[in-house]
Amino acid sequence: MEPGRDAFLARVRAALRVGHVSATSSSNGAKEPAVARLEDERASRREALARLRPLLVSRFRDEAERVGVRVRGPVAAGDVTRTVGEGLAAHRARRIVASPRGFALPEGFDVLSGRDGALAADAGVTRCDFAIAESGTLVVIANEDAPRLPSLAPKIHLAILRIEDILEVPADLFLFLSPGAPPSSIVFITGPSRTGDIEQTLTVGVHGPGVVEVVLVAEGTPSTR
Amino acid sequence: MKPTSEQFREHVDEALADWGLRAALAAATGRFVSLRQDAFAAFPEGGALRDQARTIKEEAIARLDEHLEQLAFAVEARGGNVHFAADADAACRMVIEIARQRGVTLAVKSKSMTTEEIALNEALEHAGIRVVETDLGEFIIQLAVEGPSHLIAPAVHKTREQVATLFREKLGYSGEDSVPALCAFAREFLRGEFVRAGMGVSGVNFAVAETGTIAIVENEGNARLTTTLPPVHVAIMGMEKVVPRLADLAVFLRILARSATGQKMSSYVSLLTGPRREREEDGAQEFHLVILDNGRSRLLADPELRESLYCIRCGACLNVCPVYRAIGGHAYGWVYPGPIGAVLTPAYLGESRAPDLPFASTLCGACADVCPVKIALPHRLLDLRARVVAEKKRTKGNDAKSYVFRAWAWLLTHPSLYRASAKLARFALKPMAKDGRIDALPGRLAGWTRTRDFPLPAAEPFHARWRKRWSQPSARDGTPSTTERTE
Repeated sequence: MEPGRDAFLARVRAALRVGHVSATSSSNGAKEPAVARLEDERASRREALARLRPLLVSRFRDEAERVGVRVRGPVAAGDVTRTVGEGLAAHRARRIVASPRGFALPEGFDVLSGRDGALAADAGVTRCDFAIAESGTLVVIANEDAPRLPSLAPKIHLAILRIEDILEVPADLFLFLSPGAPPSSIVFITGPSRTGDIEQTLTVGVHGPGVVEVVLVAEGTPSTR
Repeated sequence: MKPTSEQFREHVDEALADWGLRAALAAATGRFVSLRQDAFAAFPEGGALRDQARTIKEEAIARLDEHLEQLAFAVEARGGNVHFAADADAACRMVIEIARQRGVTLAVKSKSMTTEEIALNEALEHAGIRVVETDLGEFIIQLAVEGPSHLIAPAVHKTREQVATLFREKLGYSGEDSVPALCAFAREFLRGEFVRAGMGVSGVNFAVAETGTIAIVENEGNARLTTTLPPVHVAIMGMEKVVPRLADLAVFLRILARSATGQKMSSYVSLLTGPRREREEDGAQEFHLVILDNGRSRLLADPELRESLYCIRCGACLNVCPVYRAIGGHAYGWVYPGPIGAVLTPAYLGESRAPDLPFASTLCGACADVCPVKIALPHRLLDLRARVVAEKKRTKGNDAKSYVFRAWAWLLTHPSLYRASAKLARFALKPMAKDGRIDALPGRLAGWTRTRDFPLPAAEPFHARWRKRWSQPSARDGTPSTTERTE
């Protein structure tokens, strides 16, 4: 440990002693459940979400549309490829980058890859790991089969989402993430890239995609996780 | 950013004379206020979440030393590097050193108040490293060579014509003055900078001690590009940004955007844990976290001001503040404007560097009402006022005003004398009054009536009316009985 760190932490400790204040409330924020309880909690939450599913799907759709996301489906797993193709064609995308993990890509598009591919592509096609119904949010987690750029660099993002993966609130996501180190990147995407920096005028697509579309996949599709 | 908070009064005069600025501010703050109100009106859990957020911050700060150690350990365990910086100079030196070792000549930056605070851009430029701000608002004010005027809408004072002129003069823009065209141009221009940059510099909204995860909240996607395209990512955080557990983010993510812009969630929230993993295709290969003190331990050691470290920089207190709404952010003279800035600036820089800021408040309390972590801002401003006055008294002795107030206090504690002098005042002031108001007091008191009227003391003063009203048989000790109250 370098000396700067020791001195830094020593200063913090000294300041903590001098400025001690009693907390205004005694509870402890989010509780850390023991592992056994965690499994129980997950199982019961999973059941509750399954019961709520029709509501969650319609809430997700409403909220996503409210922030400017077009939602297609739910379609059967066998129809995902065709629906993705329709979405791409509707926006006249030709060159695409994709990490569809488990779904075939539609024919007739130039499929690019890598960083340069993502920067040159018209559209990115990705799976979503989860969604949050309350805010119409897509959750995209990076891994070796799911790079970060396809949902970010092109002007169009087309996302494939299983309805089983729609959660209610952010706390559900943290409950279902595997314990231990989180993945290198978890991104919450709520609508298109937006700015109001010039005259408070809402403008989409300033850095990330200006078009975000979701293809919902009906129940019974295998998970990629 | 070099503080000019000592010249607050001059700044205020300039700001008040700038009608364009005032119109832009009124529109922007009014919009944010109503968006926030709507968001919380449709959010019954809001109150409970604010309490939880407060509790988490209290816990995080009360054991800050442990949380910082844990954070550093977790970041390093995921292959990241952690640097502890005692002050702004140390933090800048560390970032420059990282850049030099890797031969970086161009850095891209996403919006971060903390990097403004340490004046990182100036330091990097001085070391020969070009820095490009990539948040559209920050990009605009970087081109215009100004500082941000709002925590979350830094270029709120610029019109589209001004932006177009700026782009034409500095970047050879040849398009029209429309907002979409300007945004499209900025996207293309900045994309090139992202691709060429050797380093991306970001701020941090929350850092999770348990996992070493940093959370970055934004709407444009420039922070995602900043942390994804360049090979090196340097994140800079004030040490108070730490929260104990990943699950704590669930609370803050639901109130931050609602408080700031009325959105349920900002467009993008990135939770990043260390650099990209082996076999991952993109994301920075190297991750550095700079943890900054720079005066924060002074606040930590201060039982009155400590709670200002709970601030999550949503900007809600700015939008509702009648003072901020009139003068805007630049007038505060440093990085943090509005009520929270009026607390943080004297707290970080020392009261003598910003002696007027604690007084830049009507103490109306709107800021405390909207604060998502319930910082008692008016009380903290009062604490600072007391310090400024005590310091003035120590160095300069009592001034005329303090004698007036002392006499006033004495009078108030002597009821019969007070009543007599109120009568006397009415008698003396009556010849100056028109319709019960005085629009020009004489002599040294003239300043008071320059911008407002002074009311003539009432013929029947309040205490007399009160006595008459409650001296009826049913009232005990001057306290109204319940039956009378419902009359």
